[in-house]
Amino acid sequence: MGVLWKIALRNVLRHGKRTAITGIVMMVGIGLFIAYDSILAGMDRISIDTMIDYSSSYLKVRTPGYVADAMGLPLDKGIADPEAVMAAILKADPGVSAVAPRTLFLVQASNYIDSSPQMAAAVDPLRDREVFKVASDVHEGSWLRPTADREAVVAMSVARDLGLKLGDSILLSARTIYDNDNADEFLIVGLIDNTAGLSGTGSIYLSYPAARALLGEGLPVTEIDAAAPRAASLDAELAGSAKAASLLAAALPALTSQPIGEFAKDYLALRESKSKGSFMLIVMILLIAAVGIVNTILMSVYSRVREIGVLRAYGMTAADVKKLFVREGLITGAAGSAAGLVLGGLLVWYMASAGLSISGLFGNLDLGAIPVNAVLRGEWKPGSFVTGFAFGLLVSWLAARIPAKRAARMQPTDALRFV
Amino acid sequence: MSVLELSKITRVYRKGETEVRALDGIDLCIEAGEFLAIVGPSGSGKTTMLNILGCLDSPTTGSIVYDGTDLGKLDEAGLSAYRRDRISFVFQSFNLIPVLTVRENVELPLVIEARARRGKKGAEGGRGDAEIKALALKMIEAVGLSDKADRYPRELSGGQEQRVAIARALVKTPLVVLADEPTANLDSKTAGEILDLMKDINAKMGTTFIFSTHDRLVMERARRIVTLHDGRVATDSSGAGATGAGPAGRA
Repeated sequence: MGVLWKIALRNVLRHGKRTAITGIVMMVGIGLFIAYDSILAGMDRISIDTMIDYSSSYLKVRTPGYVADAMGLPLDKGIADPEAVMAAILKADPGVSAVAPRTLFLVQASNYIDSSPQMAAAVDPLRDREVFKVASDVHEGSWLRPTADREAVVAMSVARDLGLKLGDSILLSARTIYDNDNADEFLIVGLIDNTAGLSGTGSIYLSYPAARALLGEGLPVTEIDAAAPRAASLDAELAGSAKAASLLAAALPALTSQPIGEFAKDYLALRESKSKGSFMLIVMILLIAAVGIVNTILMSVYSRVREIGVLRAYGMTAADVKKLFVREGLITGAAGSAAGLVLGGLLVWYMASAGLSISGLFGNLDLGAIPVNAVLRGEWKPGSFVTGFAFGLLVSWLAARIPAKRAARMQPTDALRFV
Repeated sequence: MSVLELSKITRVYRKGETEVRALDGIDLCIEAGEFLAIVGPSGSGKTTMLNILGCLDSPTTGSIVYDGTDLGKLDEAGLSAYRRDRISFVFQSFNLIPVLTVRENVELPLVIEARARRGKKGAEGGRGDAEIKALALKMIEAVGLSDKADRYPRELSGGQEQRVAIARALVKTPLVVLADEPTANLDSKTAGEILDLMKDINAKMGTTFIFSTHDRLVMERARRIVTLHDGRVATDSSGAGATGAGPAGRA
């Protein structure tokens, strides 16, 4: 070890308390940054996963005509041979584990007195539960039976608004595929409690036989949704979905395959601005740590003025004196940053393994895309560990230069006279 | 052969509008191997003179020639190099580096020297670690502290610390050792032992010792005594450049 590193390291250890105070500030700053970034990533994950689990799925295949008019939920732009398409999807990408058909349509839901417009979905009850999570969110009653043609599963919020409960009938009216209106009663067999996950998709579920009874026997499948085993990270998830979409584009050129990234465009843009927010957090905390480092090294300089004089008297250059104190700052910063990585790692480990209950954190507050019954899990983001450590070192280096310059500027005669 | 020649040296400090002439026309010639004490009352210019002799400070006017080199022509880096290679210091408060052991303190001047040589493009590499360690241990043995080589300064007595400081000053075999009140913080017995050690090294190695001191013990052992008064040489026991008779030099 060079003499400058040796003196710097031993001085840092000698003044353990002040080093520890500065180090703790850095540790807390970097640890919080890593934890905060992990929570943000966890929230991103939970939001995107909710979209995958309830609405957009891992990958959605529709006709180009339907995609062009998707907001209008056109029932005349369905998929011609959905079974063949589903088989083709499973064949084209071995990463896809399940597929399910869906048809979204608009209904008026009524209790015979009041009514409200709702989005409904015709589903294949067995296949749908392999792709979406709606079936497992049935809070009261049960999920749809495949052949039942007079049963509906309804979101609890819809039932509550209409004063309906499990076992009641709900009147659904809608425009059929023949462009006339039809209405029918359906028995509420299940209530779903996850309203957040249902935004952008159906809040009333019917089996295909039930939906065809309402809308006409020729009701087409308008979308095929696919599922895949969950990837380790959100980025891997997005990349996997994009890759699957491109494989399907080649296998099914007449249809449009859309990955999750296309549906989450707005959210992903928001994610960028959240990342900037977390970066500002680390900048502010590390600025506080920087002030600590400046103070620590200044104290070190003033307590060792005569030592500086001796080093200069023995021919050490001003540049080497500066390097000596910069290294002290770097050692302090490296120790604090390393401790921050450990703290951040522990926090992320806890959040990744135990998770945080959303309802425990926020009560029943409506968080938009995040379901209140979900558990928020921290995500491991190696990048935030690297960024935190590198930024800690950079701040230490910059902060230590200020007092180090002062030390280097001291005249040997003044330093030796210093009492 | 003269190792240091001071010619018409003045050093003027300005404090606001006040001008302080710390040195006022010093002419002095110091021979190699001298054991010289610069004495005088406080404010007479002793420390300023020692700083100028040690290239820690520059004269306002006049010239100082060190072993044939005019120091006035050296820049800051040149003066640093000169201090590093030719001169050593012993301080009143010992000024050992507290986080280095006795051996590491003694090695320090050699390490600084080796570091500078390694850093110079085209220059020969400095001494290696093993050689530096051997030289330091030899010097520690010479000052009688072989058993303390791995101790830290806080574990030593004042006298032992000053012995380490002397070992540190001599390890690079300088031409000149400048000692600023080296016995001021020591009891008379220890001070006597330290001075005898320096005198012994002076006799054996021919190293020039220049003291700034008030201490009678130093004056008793000095072969030449230069007395400063108001920044001027008042007496010089060698008779050269003196403006008055001083005490006779003692062998």
